[in-house]
Amino acid sequence: MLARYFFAILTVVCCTAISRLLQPAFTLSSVTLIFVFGVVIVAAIWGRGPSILAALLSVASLDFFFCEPLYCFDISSSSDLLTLAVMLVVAVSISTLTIRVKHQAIESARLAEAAEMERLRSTLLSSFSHDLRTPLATITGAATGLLETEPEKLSADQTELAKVIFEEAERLERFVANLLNMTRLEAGVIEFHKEYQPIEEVVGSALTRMESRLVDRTIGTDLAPKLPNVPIDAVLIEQVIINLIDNALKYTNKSDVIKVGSQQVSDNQIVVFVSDSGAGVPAGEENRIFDKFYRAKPEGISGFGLGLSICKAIVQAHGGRIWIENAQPGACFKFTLPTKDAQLKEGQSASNRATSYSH
Amino acid sequence: MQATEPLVILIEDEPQIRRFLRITLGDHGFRLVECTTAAEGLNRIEANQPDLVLLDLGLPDMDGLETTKRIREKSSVPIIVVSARDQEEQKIRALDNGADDFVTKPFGSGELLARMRAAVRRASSKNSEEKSSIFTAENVSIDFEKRIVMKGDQEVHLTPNEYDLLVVLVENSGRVLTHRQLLKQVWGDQYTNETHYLRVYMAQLRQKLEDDPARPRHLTTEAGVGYRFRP
Repeated sequence: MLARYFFAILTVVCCTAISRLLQPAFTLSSVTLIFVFGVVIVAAIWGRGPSILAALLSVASLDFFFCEPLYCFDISSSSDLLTLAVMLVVAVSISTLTIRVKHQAIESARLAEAAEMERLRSTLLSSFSHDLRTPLATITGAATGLLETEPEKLSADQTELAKVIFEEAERLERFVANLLNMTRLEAGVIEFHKEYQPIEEVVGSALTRMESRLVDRTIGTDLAPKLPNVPIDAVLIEQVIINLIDNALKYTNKSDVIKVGSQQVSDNQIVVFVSDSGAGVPAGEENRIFDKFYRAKPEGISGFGLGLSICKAIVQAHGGRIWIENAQPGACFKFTLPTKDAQLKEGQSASNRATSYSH
Repeated sequence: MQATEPLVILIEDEPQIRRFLRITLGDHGFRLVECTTAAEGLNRIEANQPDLVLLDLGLPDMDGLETTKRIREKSSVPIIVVSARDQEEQKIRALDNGADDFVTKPFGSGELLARMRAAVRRASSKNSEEKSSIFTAENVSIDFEKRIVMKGDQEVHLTPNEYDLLVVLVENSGRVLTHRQLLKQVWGDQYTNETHYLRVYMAQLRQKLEDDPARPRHLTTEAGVGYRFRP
């Protein structure tokens, strides 16, 4: 810190020495330029404070060494006084401008670097996504292709094995999708396409998409009449509901009942819930289950502990809150969604990035 | 309609996906022409007059929207787009601009075959003169001539807009229709952004036609895309 001021002093000393060497041949105003040059260098390298010090010292040095009478701070001619005053103003303004230019250069370099990072991250994510998912899509397609062949061509064992391949490939695909979504949400590269829409419809489409996995389960809906439209990205909120139902399927038995529903809790909020009649969550773990890679009961249950943390990230990015209530019996996951979005009018749609995401 | 097996042009740059589709589609009565770029695909469509196009959205030489538009300039062949999950936007724009349906990777071959058969069937019934005057799907039936809709043995009273919406969905039975397409066909060109109209009428149709409107059996939602009538 102090070194910067030392260098400022050193620069003025150098300017003085050079000017002394040149003095016989130059007038006072020419010598001043050497000092102005010194001040600009100090401003560019060491910043504002040192440059002001350098400007003041330059004036003092000019007065002491180059203005009549020499070797004292008196000034005899008014033109010399003017020269020194102009010198001070010019030195300070040039140093201010120099500093501004320097800051702009640093800022634009930083922005360029950030944009480059963002571009790199997006490219990396999409090629990672592509390279992981294309083989998975091929495996899924090939396994279902086997299952679609005429029944007499495959033995029961072979059919069963093809089913195992298919189900596991699907599971891996869900995991990869969750992992990528989590990364995208954290990196802020997910685009939100918000639109006012009925939550009933999103619940319905989530249940349709899960149809094949719900055939042997009891699942009910409990949607309050006259729910207001909510400003949401349907694809992402559908993902939240699917993850919550998926979670309920994993932690309950076939005889347990799962229920999906929604009600309005205040003028500006609705609550969506997924409840089950299973064993519930161990006491004290109600918050930890939303942490990444945390799993309440790892034994014998598949999964990587990402589903709920994605739910949390998506709900928070919508301005809502997610939590779990232990019911008797079972668990009830609830999340809120605001019914208003100040930036979005009913009947409009908008795209924006999830910058509000926080852990 | 041709007596021969339907001809499919597959535009897909991933060799492994082409490999399993070659076998699966061949096994299920489709003839296949494989292309690895959009440019090649466009040439082949012109030369071969296929019954269906399967178009991957991640092609190296042209994006899905552009390819769909170019195909539509010269042919009304049904197009099914094959999209990855992070290509939502491209998928919707391809559908808005004339693609008939989509499957999302990873897809099961059963789902793909069903979509392909439905698309080929719709195209051939559109070309044939005779149009059935009565549509039936499980307990829902529509008499187009008399404009009567029945659920079981009960007549259902629909408003003109509800009826028009239902007819558009049913005429495209099995196919996804985007919000924009439905609004355009039922309300007209200037209403293509008024998705809230559409949502209100869909909710009313479900109330009148579905056993459990919260879990619709026929009038299903494709989140972020549009609606589909499932027969």
